Amino acid sequence: MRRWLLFVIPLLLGSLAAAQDVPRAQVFGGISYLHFDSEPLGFSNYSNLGGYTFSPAFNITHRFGAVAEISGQYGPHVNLRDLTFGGQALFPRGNKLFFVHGLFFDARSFVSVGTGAGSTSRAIIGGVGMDLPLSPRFSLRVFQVDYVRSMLFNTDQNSVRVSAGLVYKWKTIHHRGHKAPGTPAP
Amino acid sequence: MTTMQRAHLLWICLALASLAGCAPSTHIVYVTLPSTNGIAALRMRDASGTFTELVGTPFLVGSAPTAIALGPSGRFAYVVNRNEDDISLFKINGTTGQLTEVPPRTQTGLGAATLTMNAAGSLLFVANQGSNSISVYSVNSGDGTLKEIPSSPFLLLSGTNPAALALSSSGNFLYALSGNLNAVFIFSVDSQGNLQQIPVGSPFFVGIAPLALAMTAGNFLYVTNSNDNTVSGLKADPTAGTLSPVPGSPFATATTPTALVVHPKGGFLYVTNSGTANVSAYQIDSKLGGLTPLTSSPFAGAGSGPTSAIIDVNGNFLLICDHTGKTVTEYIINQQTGALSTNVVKASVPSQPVAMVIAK
Repeated sequence: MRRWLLFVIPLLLGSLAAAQDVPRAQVFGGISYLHFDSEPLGFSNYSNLGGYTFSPAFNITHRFGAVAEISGQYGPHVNLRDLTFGGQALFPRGNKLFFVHGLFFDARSFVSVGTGAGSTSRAIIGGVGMDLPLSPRFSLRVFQVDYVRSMLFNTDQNSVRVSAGLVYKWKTIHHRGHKAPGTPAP
Repeated sequence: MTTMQRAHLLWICLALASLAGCAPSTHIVYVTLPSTNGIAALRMRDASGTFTELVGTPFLVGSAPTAIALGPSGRFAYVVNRNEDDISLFKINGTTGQLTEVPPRTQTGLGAATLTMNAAGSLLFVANQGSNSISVYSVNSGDGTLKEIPSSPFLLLSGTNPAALALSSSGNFLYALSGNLNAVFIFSVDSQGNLQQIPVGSPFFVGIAPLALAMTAGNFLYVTNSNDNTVSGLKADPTAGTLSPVPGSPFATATTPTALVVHPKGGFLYVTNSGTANVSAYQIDSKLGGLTPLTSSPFAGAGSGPTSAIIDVNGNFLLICDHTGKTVTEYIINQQTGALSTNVVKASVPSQPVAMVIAK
């Protein structure tokens, strides 16, 4: 069983409170840690890389939105950058906002290894996460866990990425029949 | 924080801890590719015996790399470029295994064919076939650079064309094989690397068309005689360096023995046979040096052009270069019996391989 599935389990056990409002637009920025599958590139083991994730999203409905993502993770022997685009499904529960996203419509991974050898390939990213509101404008992304599949140097890599940080949000999509108190108009 | 939130947090922590994992045991094999002026690098995983190409392989080197040696620290590699009469020095990345050349290249004699290094990594010896000489270099332990010692190169008898070198376990004697003269030349080695042919017993004649030699820690020297289909077994005197045949020598092989290698624990000898594409395996008598073929020997699968044979430091795998098939063949060694696996693993390389080494 892939280890990333361990992150899905707590989400399946999430509480089932009534659905609440979601932001119309949001931008996530945070730090990320990538457990990169570098064995197919000839490394002795996985490589642990640190970096950033930046992700703007536009929610079309209360349940669905479009999302883009730029991320970069760096280590002493390998650097990896991703540029992806896709969709996300939203699951507001109480004051928590869970989401599931799939990024593959146009995904690119770029990597440079050791002495500078580089490769670019398509990538497929799927993940889950949870946001907790801090204020009407900000939420804390408690975690975002992604499975990253890339095909660099004509080999397959299966990696896991964990991110956390801040979400800036504006406008609100109210759940039908619900008005969230104190949500300011932009 | 609610109980459910604490449970979620615990799951996340445990999952993160599981990602750390343990590093698997692997070795890197470097293979010279003379026809394409490159060094192929393959990572071999001990658990599965499978190979993965390193990013950046093959690494470019000089013209016609025919031999390679690793320094004992594992940080440096030395490659003989036969067609340009020099040695390339490479730094080895300890994590990725990638090679980075450190110029300038060091001049050798004409037609440098092979090289060997003493156990301390302080001296490097190069056999120059074209100029009938042996070049000796001191090695800087810090940066791996080479400096030819003042009295080098050491000239050999005309027509010697040294093809292979081996050092005694003490490092006090160097054995140089002449395929032309069917003989082993014996030199004493002082602490500075100066060579002096021993006054009595050198050269020592072996079989017809010898191609390779290998020395055990117990000072037994074995030589493949490709036209005789035999292996000469010789006892090297640790004090005088002289050679004498062990009882029963020479020992029969299959057809056209080429390369040979001694198991690092000393109990077994493996000889590749290009005529029959197999490996002859022997148990070594630790006291007398005699060879006894293993029950299932010879073992098939070596390919029709075996040029080099090596064993990893733990003695688990025998690797053979197949020049004709452009492959590296891997056998699993039974540490108790010395027998080789019947299922071999083959890794392709971009062009005809000639020599190889395996990093720790």
